[in-house]
Amino acid sequence: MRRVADPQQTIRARGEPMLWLCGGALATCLLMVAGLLLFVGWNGGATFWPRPLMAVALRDGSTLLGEVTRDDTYTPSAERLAELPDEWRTAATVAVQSRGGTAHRRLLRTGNTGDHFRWVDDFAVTAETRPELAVVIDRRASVEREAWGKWYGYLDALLLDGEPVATTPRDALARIAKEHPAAMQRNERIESLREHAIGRLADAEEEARLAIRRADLRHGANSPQHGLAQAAFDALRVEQVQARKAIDTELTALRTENERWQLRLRNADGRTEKLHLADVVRIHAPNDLSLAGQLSVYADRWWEFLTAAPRETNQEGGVWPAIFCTVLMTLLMSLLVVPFGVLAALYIREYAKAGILISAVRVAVNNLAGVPSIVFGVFGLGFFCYIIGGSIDSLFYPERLPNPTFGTGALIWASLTLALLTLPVVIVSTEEALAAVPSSMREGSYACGASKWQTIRRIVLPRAMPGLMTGVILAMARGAGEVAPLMLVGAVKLAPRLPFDGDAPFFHPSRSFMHLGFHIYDLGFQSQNSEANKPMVFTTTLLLIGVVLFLNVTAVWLRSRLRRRFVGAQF
Amino acid sequence: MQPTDDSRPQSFTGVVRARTTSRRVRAFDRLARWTITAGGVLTIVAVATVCFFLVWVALPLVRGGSAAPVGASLRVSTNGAVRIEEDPYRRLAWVLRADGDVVAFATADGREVTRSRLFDPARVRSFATNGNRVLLGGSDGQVQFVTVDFATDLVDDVPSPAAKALGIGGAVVDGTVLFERTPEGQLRRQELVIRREEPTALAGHPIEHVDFTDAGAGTTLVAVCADGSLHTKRRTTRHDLLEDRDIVEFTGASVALASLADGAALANPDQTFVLGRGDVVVLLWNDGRLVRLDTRDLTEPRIVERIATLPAGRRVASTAFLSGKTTMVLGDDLGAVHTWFATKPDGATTLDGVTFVNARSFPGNGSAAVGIATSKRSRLFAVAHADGSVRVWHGTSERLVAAVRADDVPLRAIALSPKEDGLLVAGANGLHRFDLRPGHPEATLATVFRPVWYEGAAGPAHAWQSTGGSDDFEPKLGLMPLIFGTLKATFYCLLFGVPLALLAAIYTSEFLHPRWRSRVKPAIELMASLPSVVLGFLAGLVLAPFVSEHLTAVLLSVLVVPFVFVIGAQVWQQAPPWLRPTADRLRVPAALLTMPLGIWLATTAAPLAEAVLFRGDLKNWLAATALPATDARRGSAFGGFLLVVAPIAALLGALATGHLPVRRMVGDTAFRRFLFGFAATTIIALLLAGGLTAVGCDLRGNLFGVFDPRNSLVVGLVMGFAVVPIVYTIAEDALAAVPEHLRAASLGAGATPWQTAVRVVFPTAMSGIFSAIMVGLGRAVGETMIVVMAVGGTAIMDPSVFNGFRTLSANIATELPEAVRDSTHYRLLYLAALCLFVMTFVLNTLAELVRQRFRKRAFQL
Repeated sequence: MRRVADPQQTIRARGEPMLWLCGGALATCLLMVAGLLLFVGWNGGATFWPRPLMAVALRDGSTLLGEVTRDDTYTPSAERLAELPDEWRTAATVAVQSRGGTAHRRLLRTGNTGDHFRWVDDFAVTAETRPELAVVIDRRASVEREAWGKWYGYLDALLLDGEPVATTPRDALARIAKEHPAAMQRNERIESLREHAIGRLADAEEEARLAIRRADLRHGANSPQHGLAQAAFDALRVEQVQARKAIDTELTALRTENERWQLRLRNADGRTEKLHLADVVRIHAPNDLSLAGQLSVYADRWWEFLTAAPRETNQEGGVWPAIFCTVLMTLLMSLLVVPFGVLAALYIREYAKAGILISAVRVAVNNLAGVPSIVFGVFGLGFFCYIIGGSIDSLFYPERLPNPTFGTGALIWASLTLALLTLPVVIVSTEEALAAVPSSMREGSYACGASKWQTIRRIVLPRAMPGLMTGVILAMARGAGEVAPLMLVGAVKLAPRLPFDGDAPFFHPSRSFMHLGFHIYDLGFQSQNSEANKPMVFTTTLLLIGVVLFLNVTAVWLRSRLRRRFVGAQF
Repeated sequence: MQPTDDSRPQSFTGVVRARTTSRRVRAFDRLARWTITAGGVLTIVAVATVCFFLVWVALPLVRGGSAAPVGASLRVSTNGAVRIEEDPYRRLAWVLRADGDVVAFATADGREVTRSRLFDPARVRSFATNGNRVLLGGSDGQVQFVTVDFATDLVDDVPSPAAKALGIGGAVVDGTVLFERTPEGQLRRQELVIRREEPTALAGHPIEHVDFTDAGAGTTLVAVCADGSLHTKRRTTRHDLLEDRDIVEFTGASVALASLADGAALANPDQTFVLGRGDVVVLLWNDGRLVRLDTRDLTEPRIVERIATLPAGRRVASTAFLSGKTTMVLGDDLGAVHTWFATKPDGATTLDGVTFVNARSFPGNGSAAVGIATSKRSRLFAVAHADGSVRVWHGTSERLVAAVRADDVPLRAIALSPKEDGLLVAGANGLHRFDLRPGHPEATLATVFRPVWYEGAAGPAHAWQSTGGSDDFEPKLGLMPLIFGTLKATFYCLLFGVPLALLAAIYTSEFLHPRWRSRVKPAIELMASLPSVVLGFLAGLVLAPFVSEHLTAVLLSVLVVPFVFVIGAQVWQQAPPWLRPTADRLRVPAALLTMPLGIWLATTAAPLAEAVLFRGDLKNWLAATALPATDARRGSAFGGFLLVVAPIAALLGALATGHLPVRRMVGDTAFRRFLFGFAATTIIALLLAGGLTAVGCDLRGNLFGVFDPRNSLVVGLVMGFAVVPIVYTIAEDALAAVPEHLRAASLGAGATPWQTAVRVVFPTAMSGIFSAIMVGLGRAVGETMIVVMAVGGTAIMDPSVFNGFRTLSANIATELPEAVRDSTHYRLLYLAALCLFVMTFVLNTLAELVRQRFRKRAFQL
C-alpha cells in the first residue's frame, strides 16, 4: 500500500536543505565576525605578555636563545635534507620519515643583531632548556650602536665606571631596578633638551631668516626693512650662542653620567658585550617572573604603548602621537561636518519646497554616500591641498615658498576631506530624525503661535537629537577608520611634531599627522621587517577596532536609549 | 462660517490681543531661514564641486596642444643649415652648416654669439648626430667624436656689470657668454662649448655613411666606406695607467657588403643607421628599400630582412629617431611620416626572430617632409614640410599636437627645444621661433581606453606602467588594465559575498526568532564599521599566507561546507513532528557547529584530493600552465573542472531530485531521495568535467593560472567579508518591509514558511534586494585598502583566480602621492578617480531608482 506523503512535509515544500544553507550562511557570517574579533583580540592582547625564553642547542654546535613566535609543520625537500652535514643527515632523515615525510619547526625570535628570526627544525635540536635567568632587553637605538630592538641573553654584572657593583644576575637586576628610573629621567631630559630647547632656538633662527626674506619680498632687497631684519637676525645669532652653549654643557653632563652605568652581558654563544644602562628601555627575566611580575611587565608595556611615542622606526615604543592625532582629526572633522550636515538636512527637510530639485539633491546626497573614499582623497589633494592651500601659501607665506606651508598634506585638509566624506552620513541620519518628528508636534507649535525657527529650535531639534547624535557618532566612527584618503592628504609615517603642542600658537593645523589606521598600513606593508612588526600591528589593530567599535556601540546604544525616551512623546 | 466684512479679527470674548509677531522673533526667523538656506545650498554645492573638480582636472587631457610664433623671425644666415638646436632655456640657438661651421645666436635679437669651425668639409665625408654628440666620418677613414653642448651653471659673482644689473627674466650677452636672471633671482651663465675627441682610424677608405648609438655596453659605430665595405665596431675606452691617457679600442668586423649573402644588390645604400643597443643595423635607399642586419654579434653581421618601407613610388625625404633610438621615423616626399621599430612577435619567420614593423603612419599634406626633429624626453616629434607648414605629432598617441606655418620656403632644418616648450625652424632667410604648448599629447581617449602599440611590443595591447627605470622609458598609460582589475575584484568579491549575504538575510528575516533577530542584525552590521585597513592587514599578512599554505583545503571547504549543511538538513528532515519546533530553533546553533566540522573534513580530505586530482600538488599542477599540452607533467585538466562544475552539478542534481518523478524511481523516503540527489550530482559533475577534459579544454591559462600568494581568491574572500554587512542589511530591510498580510495569506492558504519565503516574500522584495546588490557592488568597486594591502599587484589583464591585479582605487592610492602636480600622470589619476566616481554614481543611482520604485510598490500592497 502506498502511503501518501503529507504535502507540507516533502523536501521541496519544507525546503530543509535550503533552510540549512540559509542558516549556514548566517552562521558563517556570525562565525566570521566572531572569529575576526577573537583573532585580533587574542593576537593583539598577547603581544605584550612576557613569553618564556627558550635556549636551544643545535646539532651544528651553536646555541640559540629566544622566544618561540610560531611553529608549523612542513614537508622538507630532498635537497634540504641533502644539504645537512653527514653526521646527522641520517638521523634527520629518519626523524622526518617517522613523521610521514613532514617535519615540525619553530620560529625563534633571536633578536640581538640584524638577524631577528630563525626557523629551528626539531630534528636539528639536541637539547632545549628554559634558562631561569635569561633576560630580554628592549634596547633603544643610539648613535654609536647600529643594533637595537630585542636582546636575548644573560646578565653578568652591572658596572659603575667599569667596576662591577653587582655581580650575580639577581643582584644586578635588583640594582638595575633601582638605578634605571634615574637613567630614564636623564634620557627624557636629553630628549626634551634636544627637541624643545634646541628646536626652539632653531625655530627662532628660522623665523628671523624668514623675516629677512619677507622684508625682501615686500620692500626690496636694498630697503631699510631688510637692514633691520638682517640686524635682528645677526643679534639673534649672537644671543643664541650663549644659550646653545648652556644646553650643550647640560647635555654633555647628562651623557657623561649615563655612560657611567653599564651592563655586562653574555649572549647565548657565550660572547660578552656591554650595554649602557641608558640604552635599556626595559629588562626582565621572563622565565623567573611570578604571575604578578608577568602582569606588571604586561601592564607596563601596554602603558608604554598607549602613552609613549614610537621609537626604532615605529617598531617599538607606543602609538600615543597616532592616538592623539586620530582623535584630534576626528574631532576637528566633527566640528566641521556637524553644522553643515545639520543645516543641509534642515534645509532639505524643513525649508526647501518639494520638487524635482529636492529629489535630485536627495539622489545626489545618497550617491555621495556611495562614492569611494579614495575619490574624496583625490579631491582633497587637488582642491584643498593644492588649490586652497597653495593660495594661502602665496598670500600669507610667500617667504617660505617654494616650501609649502598649507599647500601640502595637513591636518586641516585631512579633516575637511573626511568631513566631506562623512557629510552624507550626517545629512541622511539627521534628515531621517527630522522626518521622524511627527508633524502633529510642529502643527501644535505653530498653533501656539511659535514661529518656524522657534518651532525648529524648541520642538523639532530636541526631538531629532538622538538621530542627529547617532549620525555624528557614526560619522566619527567612519572618519576614524578611514585610511585611503588620508594617504593622499597628509597622514605620515612619523610626524616629528604634533599638530598641538606647547609652542605658540599651540594649534598647528598645517602640520602633517600620524594616524592609527595609516600606522597599521605603514608598519605592516611599508617596512622591511614585517615579521618583527606583526605583533605591533596586531596591537594597533586591536586599538583601532576598539575605538571604532566603541563609537559604533555608543551610537547604537544612544539611539535605542533616546528612542525609548521619546517614544511616548507623540501626540 | 461666513467671513465677516470687518477686516479686524473678531473676538468672542471681546478682548483683542496683539496679533503681531514681535520684531525680534521675526528677525530671528528670517535670519534662521537665510542661514539654513545658505548653509544647505552651500553644502549641496560642495557636493557638486567634487564631481566638477575631477572633470576640471582631467579635462586638459583631451585638449590638444598649441603653437604660436614668437617675436619676429631672426635674420641670420641659414645657408646650408643641416642641424639646429636650442638651449633648454631658449636663450641661445646654434646652427650647424654643411660647410662645417657652428654658429650660436642669441634668440632674443639674432645676434651672433660665437662661431667656430666644427670640421673641414674637405676632409669630412659624412657625419651623424645623436643627442649633443656628433660623429664625423673622414675621407681618410678616420672617425672623430665632437660634443656640441651648452655649458650651463648658476653663478654668484660675475665681472660683467651688465649681467649684475639684470632684472628678473632679463638676459644679456657678454662676449661669448649669455647671462640670464632666473625667476628665483639667481644668475645663470650659458656658453656654447665644443669638445673634440681625438680622431681614430676606423677604416682605410673614405667613410660615406656613419652612425653610432650609445645605448648598451659602450658605443656602437657603423660605417659604410666608399669601397663598399661595412664596418660594425664597438668602441671602448681603456685608461692606460702607465702613460696616463685613455686608449680607444675598436672591436668588431669589417666586411664587404657584397660578400654578405646575395649582397650584390646592397651596394651604395643612401643611408646607414645603427639602432637601439647596437644590435640592429639598417641600410636605407631613398626609394624606401630597407635592409636590416642582425648585429647582435658585431663580428658577424648578417642580413635578416628586406622591406619596402614606403608605399610604391614614394621617396624618403627625411629620417630621424625617437628618444631611445629604437623607433625610426621616415618622412616621405608627400609629407606622410612612418614610424618603424623592431619587435619580437611569436612565430616570426626571420633568422633572429625579430621583425621590423611599420607601427604607425601619420598622414601627409602633399608636400615633402624635409625635416624631422624629435624630442629627447618623450615621443614627440616635429615635421617641417616643403611648403612651409610645420606639424608636431606624438609618436605613440598619433595626436596632431600643433600645426603652424613658417612662410619662408624652403625650410632647411627644424628643432624641438629640450623642454618641449618651443620650436625652432630654419627657413631660407632666417630662424623662426614658435612657442609650443604640447599639453598632454601622450594621452588621448584612444590611448587611455584602447590598446596601444608601444615601442618594441609585438602588437597593440592594454598596459599601465607609469614609471620606469631609464630616461628613455615611455610611460604606458592605459586605464583598461585597472578597470579590468576593478571589475575582477568586484566579481570575485560578489561571487563570495552576495550569496552569503542574501541567504543570511532571508534566514534572518523569515526564520529567525524576533528576539534573536534583534541581536544578530546589529552584530553583523558592526562588521560594516570595521575599518578596511584592518581587513586589508588581515588579508595581506594573515589570510594570504594561510591560503597559500592550505590552498586545497580552502577550495574544498567552499564545496564541502555547503555539502555538510545539506547533510544536516537531511538529519533535520527526519525529525518527528513533535520535535520540529525545537529543531527549527536549533538550526543555526547546529549550523554553527557543523561549519567547523565541514572545514575539518575539507582539511582532512585535501591531501587525498590533491593526490588524486592534481598530481599530488595543486600549486605544481597550476604552475604546469606554462607547459605545452602534450607534456606528461602537465597532468589532466579534470581536477580543475571538477572544482568549478561541482556547484553547477549540485544545482542540476537538486533540480533533478525536485522535478523528476523520483518517487517512482527510488521510493519515497527522504533519505533515498537525498541519496539519489547526491548520486545525480556526482554523476553530472564527473560527466561534465570528464567531457570538457576529453574535448581538450583546460581551465589553466584562463580561469586558473600560476599561483601567486597575493591573489584574487584572498581579495575575493576579504572584500566579500566587507560587502556582506551592507548587502545583508539592505536586503534584510527589504525583506522585513514586505507587509505581514502577504505572509499571513500565503501561510493561511497552506504554503509552508519556505514556500512563502521563496514564492511570496522574495519576489515582493526583489527590487530592494537588487538595490542591495548594487550598493554592495558600489562598495566593492571603490574598496582601496584591502586591495592595496592584499594584492598590491601589477596591472595585468588575466582572469585567473590565482594571481593579482591592480584596481583603479589601489592605483590612485599608491601612485598619486608620487605624481607630479599637473603632469599627465597626475591628470590620468584624476581621470581614474572620475571613472570610479562615474561607476559608483551609475550603480547607486540605479539602486536608488529601483528602491524608490520598490517603496511605491510596497505602499500599494
